[in-house]
Amino acid sequence: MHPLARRLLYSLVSLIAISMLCFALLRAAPGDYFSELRLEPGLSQKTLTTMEEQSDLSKPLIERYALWCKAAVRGDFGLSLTYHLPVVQLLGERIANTLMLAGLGLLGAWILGLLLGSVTGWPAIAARAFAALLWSIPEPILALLLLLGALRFHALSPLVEISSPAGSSWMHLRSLAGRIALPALAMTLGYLPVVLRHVQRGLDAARRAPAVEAARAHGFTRRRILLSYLLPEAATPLISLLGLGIGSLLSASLFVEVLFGWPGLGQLLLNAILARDTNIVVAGVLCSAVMLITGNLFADLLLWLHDPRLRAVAR
Amino acid sequence: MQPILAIEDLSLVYRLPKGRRLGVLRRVSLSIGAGEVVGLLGPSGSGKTSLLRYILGVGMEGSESKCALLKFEDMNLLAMNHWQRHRLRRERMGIIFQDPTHRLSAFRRIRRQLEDAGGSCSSESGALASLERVGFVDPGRIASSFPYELSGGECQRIATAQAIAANPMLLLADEPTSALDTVAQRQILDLMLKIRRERKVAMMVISHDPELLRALADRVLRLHDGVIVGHVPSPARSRSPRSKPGTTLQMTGERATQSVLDVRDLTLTFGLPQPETGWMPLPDWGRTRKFHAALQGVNFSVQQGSFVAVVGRSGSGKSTLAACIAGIALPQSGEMLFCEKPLLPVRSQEQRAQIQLILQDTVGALNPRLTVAQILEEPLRIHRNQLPGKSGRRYTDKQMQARAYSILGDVSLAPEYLTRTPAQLSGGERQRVAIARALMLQPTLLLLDEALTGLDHDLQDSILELLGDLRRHKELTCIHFTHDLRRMLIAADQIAVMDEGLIVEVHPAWEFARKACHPASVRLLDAMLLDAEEQ
Repeated sequence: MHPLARRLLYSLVSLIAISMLCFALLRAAPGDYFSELRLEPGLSQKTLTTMEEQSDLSKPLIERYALWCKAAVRGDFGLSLTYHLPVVQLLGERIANTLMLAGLGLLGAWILGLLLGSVTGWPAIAARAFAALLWSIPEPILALLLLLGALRFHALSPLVEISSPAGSSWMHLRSLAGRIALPALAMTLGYLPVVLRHVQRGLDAARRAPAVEAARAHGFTRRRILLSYLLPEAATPLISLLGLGIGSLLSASLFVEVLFGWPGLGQLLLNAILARDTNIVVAGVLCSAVMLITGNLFADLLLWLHDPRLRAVAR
Repeated sequence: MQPILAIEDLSLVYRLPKGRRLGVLRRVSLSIGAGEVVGLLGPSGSGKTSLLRYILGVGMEGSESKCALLKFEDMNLLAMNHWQRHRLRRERMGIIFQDPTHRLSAFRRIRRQLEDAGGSCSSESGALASLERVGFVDPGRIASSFPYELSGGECQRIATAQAIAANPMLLLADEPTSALDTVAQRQILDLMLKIRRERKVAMMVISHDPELLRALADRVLRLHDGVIVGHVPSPARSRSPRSKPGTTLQMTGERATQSVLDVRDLTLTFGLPQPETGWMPLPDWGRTRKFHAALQGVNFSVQQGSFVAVVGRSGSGKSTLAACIAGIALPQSGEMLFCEKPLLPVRSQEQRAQIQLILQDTVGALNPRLTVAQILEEPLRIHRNQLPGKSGRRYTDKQMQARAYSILGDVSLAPEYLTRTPAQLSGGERQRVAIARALMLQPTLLLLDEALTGLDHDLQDSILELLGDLRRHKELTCIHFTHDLRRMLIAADQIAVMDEGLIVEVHPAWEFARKACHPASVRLLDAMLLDAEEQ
């Protein structure tokens, strides 16, 4: 079988395994959605029993999983117990928000990292020191510092308004940009050191590579050396890193989301876990898993396209 | 004659860690006339490559130079900036490096890399023509290949094509033929002679091979410890008193013969699914699948304590066979017995230690981040400080260091090399370290894949002599995969000729010249004799 097809098959198998594990672990955890409701004095025993019967929770685990699978292949991941809304709809909005934030943050980190990482001489040493400094500040503290800085020096309010403002789409975009700027910056700064150091090390090694030295010795054009010799030589570890980055898009922004009150997946998932809202948790975990698998698959595909030797092994 | 290149009073120092400095060149002066071919001879580590790099202006990081004059075609190179020098390299100078496989980018097709060189190669037809000029019969296939699909010899010919693409005035060559088989060596040599005749290009050629310089060079400079010690008008091969390997190495007849290695019907075709993965081939989306039968049913056996040379031209499957025996490549079918125990499908840890492989490419073989001491100790550490299958004795760190120290002496390197890293060694010194590393585990079978190529002649002899000693005292068996038939006629016990993925004939070395009859053997012998006639 083609290695790519094989990878896809493995991915599917792991997704099924993850969903099973999710169900099993949630069942193994103490209590369920109704445990806390039972302590509520305002709810009668009768109401609770009806609610429990209406939900699937009273059925045996295997049956629940089978029912869930049957619905899931149709794209129906059930209802949220707390919000009484379809999980797909709930997650959909939140995932879009998280992807926007994390994607912007990582994009910024990559652009800055590639730019700062490709300088040489003393600016490179300065960039390295900057990266070390950033890396040594824990992400929540970095986010808090940004928040304080914005409040102290800026008119801009970093706190998210819940309702989206009415007005033209341009106004909407501007207000969105205002709200996303700070959390995205926090994410960028948090991830920048990783990218920066990888770019620096990769390019350093590539500059010393015999093939690149030979290209310089033959006097190939500057652009040719950079694009066709130096960058391909440096690209392999960077492609793997990019894959990891994409894989963590849904989970990387958790701290930042909570601190800046960004209505993303992280908060929803946290609340759902605390409330034992099974359907949301399972769907959320699956989304993260899909993202991780996609990211790695994407990186492998890029590597496969990049390195002819890998294609030869695959054949 | 107006000199095309003039250097006066050049001194070069490398900065080493901890503030130490290593003087490489001391007050070197030389000049090369237009169209003149100057050979540069000298033991490894004498600063030949550094001189070449300095003229080129590449890879001089971490060095300090002092030079009174560096003139090229009336241009003062010392006054030029980085990009002017770069442009000069593009338009007026050509360079051929020693390690061809690493000097081509792994990620780019050969045709593209040739086009990058500009000049006559800048169009597709030009690139194909240039491949034909360096001796390829099927330029189309080569042009659409990636470097990993080609042998070392083929890569070097491509590098030569790149170097002469822009019609340079000065061609620098660092061991241009050391990686080629005898047939291709002649092609390159003839080509260089032709270039010299037709284009009046000046050349500076570094080589360990006095015969090459004799054929090519007008005069030869000898470099020793960074100083030019003499101009040799007509290079004569140094007849320093050294032992005759022929007498010390041929002694297998007396030994009770036990087979160390039996290879039966070994086949390996690149492009077919590998046995251990079981991947099924799927369509290749518009690209034709390439099959290359590297081994087509190889049969041979090696007696204990013998020295077998497997010779053949580049692309005949020598390296693939070596890789199969060493366990790097897995054959699709066939059988391998090592001391009567099977090596296939999976070999034991002990068998791995007993079979050691030494490669041609020393840059890739040694970890650049380790010191020589660490490199030598690594095999023992991998085997948990214990020589597998031997006494069961564990080495302490002290004893391990002592062993590294003594082995380093065996390959005639001074103890101070223990603290150096591969980057601070010359090509010859690196190969000696690689051989020392293989000897650390006291292997039963030593595979040398062109391992002596690139060393100077005296060193080649001394290493062969060392292997002879080891074979006598430690029951070591050697298989040398090489194109150097001449040396093997003297040094080896048996010569097996390989062609098109088959071992076509095996003869004792002393009667090889008389008995060999296969066309491949005859071709190798002819190329060798042709070389000898010119002397």
